[in-house]
This record gives sequence, structure tokens and C-alpha cells, in this order.
Amino acid sequence: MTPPFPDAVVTRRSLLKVGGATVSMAALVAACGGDDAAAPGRVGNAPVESPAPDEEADDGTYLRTAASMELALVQLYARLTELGGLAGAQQALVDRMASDHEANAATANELATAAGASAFDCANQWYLDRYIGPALERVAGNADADIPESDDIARDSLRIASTFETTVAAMYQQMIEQVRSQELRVELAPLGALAARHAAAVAITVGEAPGSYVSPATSGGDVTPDESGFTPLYAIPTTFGAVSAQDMVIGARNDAGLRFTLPVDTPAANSYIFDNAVCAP
Amino acid sequence: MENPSRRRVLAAGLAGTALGLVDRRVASAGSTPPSPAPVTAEPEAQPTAEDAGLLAAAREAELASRDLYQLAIDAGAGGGDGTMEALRDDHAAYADVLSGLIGRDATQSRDEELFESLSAGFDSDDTAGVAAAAYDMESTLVATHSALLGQLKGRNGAKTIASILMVEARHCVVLADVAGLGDDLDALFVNDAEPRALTPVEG
Repeated sequence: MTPPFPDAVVTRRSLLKVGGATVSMAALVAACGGDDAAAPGRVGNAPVESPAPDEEADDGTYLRTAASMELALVQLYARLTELGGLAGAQQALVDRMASDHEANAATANELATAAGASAFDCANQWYLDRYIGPALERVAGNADADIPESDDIARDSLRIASTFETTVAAMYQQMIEQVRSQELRVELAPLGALAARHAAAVAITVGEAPGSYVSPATSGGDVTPDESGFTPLYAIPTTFGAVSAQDMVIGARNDAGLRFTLPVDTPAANSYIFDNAVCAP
Repeated sequence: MENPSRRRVLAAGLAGTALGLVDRRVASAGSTPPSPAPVTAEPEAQPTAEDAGLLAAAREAELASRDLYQLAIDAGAGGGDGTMEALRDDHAAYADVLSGLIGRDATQSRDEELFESLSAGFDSDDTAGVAAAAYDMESTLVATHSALLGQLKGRNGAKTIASILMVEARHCVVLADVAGLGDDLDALFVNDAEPRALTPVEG
């Protein structure tokens, strides 16, 4: 099956690493001698590991990463719109969020160039491959992979939106602490606040006010999945902004009665857009 | 009822105060940002003495916000669904965490000027009307906290303020919905409130 998001980013470092690994392995085999295979086979369906890069993130890195995440959400909403599960006010909400993210990507790139880095005009490939692509598969289905179409495309579209809006808000919240420039914090805050507002609006759209306003967890209560297996969404899920991974639950039930669950994290070293990353749209 | 996305009731109320307004609008999505100042040194973690004064002022604003919601609850606003209480409790929690951050510099008083300037909008059993007033207040808090991030030298203060403003932004969406503007995407997503200048509180 053609991957939903073909690779757009190639780095000189990644090409050198592949070449270097090949040379190193050949040297190891030659030194040890014998005809045995160099490494054991992989077992199971674990994704191919991507070693963390050894570069250090700077303010330019964070801003380029932010731009790439904003553009990832633009792509996400374009695909969800193509799937056609939303209509009326729900589609208007998604259209507005997409437009906001387009604008925020431009802002993040302006900040990046002001900080001495290059603009980055591609969606974050790491997120497309590991989170957004798999999520979209559970909405659209994938016959080759035996993944059924969603049993409620509108529901899953909005739950995906909620997850990624919250993730982007958390990303900016973390970046406010991470960046060295105090001035930059001021610029990042409205970008994160807007994503947080998006997430809140989605929660109110999915749920029923006033029950969908404030999570019981803010006053020490429990939040448990309903009979359909979904944890309710709340406009205010926590008292303080959270940066922990979120479990995204979507898709039709499998034979065991379970739905697809994917913990979604904020960007880290493996998904940062470092200085040497080149965008190839 | 005034559209909360228009000129802020709160900003108009504060225009004549001695504190004045910070001569800077918080950047909104799509605006041209100024160039950030070049930085070479790693920011320190703990609040500096100057930070503590600003965080203490932020704490007093949180206490005023808490008391404004209590005023509304006592007047009969809220409809009994717990939303006003939850927002009140959030601001109480913010004041508590700021107290912990600044330690012995924490004062016990609220920002009386803020409270008095807004109390008329909260002292009512008209839930939608109170929500509109609260929306303005929360919008200004988000703008104020965003501006404060540029003044804090210590990372821990910035981290805490960031975790607060992200949820206060969500408060705005809830309040817009309570005020009957849940279908107004500008009311939900645009914050054109001006930041309120915080006068450092001496410890």
C-alpha cells in the first residue's frame, strides 16, 4: 500500500548515517570472521526504530518544529474534509481551525527566520507517519491492512482533531519553557492558547453542554470510558495545562471489542526539525 | 449584550487607572512579530527577586478573579451546573501555585482595584451576562500572562504561567458558549484583549 504521506524530508546526516552504518557493519563482520548472519531477525510488528539525533535543539529548531506541526494539522484537516464525514457547523469548525493553523505556520516561520533559522514549509513527517497517517487509516479504512472503515467518521474526525489540537497546545506550552529568548515566549503563547481554544471548542461540539465544559478530574473526580469505549472530552480537562501524552481512541471495534488506541506525545528529539533538515514538498 | 469579540469591557474600565496599559498588543495569529532579542546565556530556573514581585502581582489578580466568580455564585449566577464554581476553583489553584513559587513573598490580598472595576459585571444572577463579563476578564488575563512571560527571567515562573494561561484560554471558550456565542468562531478563537500592566508587589 502506498504510505499516506510519502517522505518529504531528507537530511544529509541521515544519508551519512546509512553509509557509515554499512561500512561499520562490514568491518565488524570482517573482524569477527565466519559465515554467520550479523544480526538476529526482528520479531513482531514493532515499528522500525529511529535513533534520536545527536544535535542540540535551539530556538530555531523549536520554531521550525512548530511550523511543521501547524502544517501537519493543515494536512490532517484537508484529509478529514476529503473523507466527508463532517457537515454544517462541524465542518465550519474544522475549516476555521485549518485556516488558523495555516496562519500560525506562517507566524512560526517568521519567528524562525527572525531567530536566524530557515523557514520550514513542510508538515512534520514523523508525526504524519506515526500518528496522523495511522489515525486516518482508522477513519478511511485500509483493506490491504485489514483495517475497517470507521463506524462513525464524524465522531472519529473530531476526536482526532481534539487530540492534535491539545498536542499542539502542549507543544507550545513546553516550548515556552524551552526557548532561551524571553521575547519569544510572548510570541509562542498566543499560538498555544489558540490551539487550546480549538481543543475546547471541539470538546463542546462533541459533547453536550454544560456537561462537556469541565472535567470531573479537575475536582478530584474520575473520568471513565462510556459504554462505547470512549472517554468523554472536556473543554477544560485539567486545572493546569498538561503536557503528558494523550490516548487517542478511535475507529470501529475489533473482534475483541476494542478500538484503536494510540498515545500521542508532544514533539521531542526524534521529531524536531533541526537546522539541517530540508523540506522537499 | 456586547459582543465579547469587540472592544473589551475590562480594557475600557481600566483605561483610566493609574496602572495604565502596557504599550504593546499581544501578537495574534498572522500578525508580524517583532524580532526577539538575541540570547546567549541559559535562562536561570528559579524566580529572581524581580520575578517574585511580578508573580505576586499575578497572584493578587488570580485572587481577585476567584472572588469575582464567588460574587457571581452568591448572586445566583451559574444555573447550578458547577461551571462557575469550577472556574472559581481554578483561579484559587493558580493563586496557590504562585504562592508556592514565590514563597515568603506571597501576600494574602487580592488585587482590589481589579476586583472593584469588574464587580458590577459579576454581581448578577444573569448567567449569560456574567459569562460575558468573565469572558472579558479571562481574555485580559491570557493577554496579561502572555506579556508577563517576556518579563520573567526564571524558567520556572514562565513554565507555571504558561500552564495557567493555556487553561484560561479554554475558560474563554466555555464562557463564550455560556454567553450564547458558541457558534461565533471569532468569539471562540480571537483574543484582542490588551494586557494589563502588573505592578510588582514588594515582598
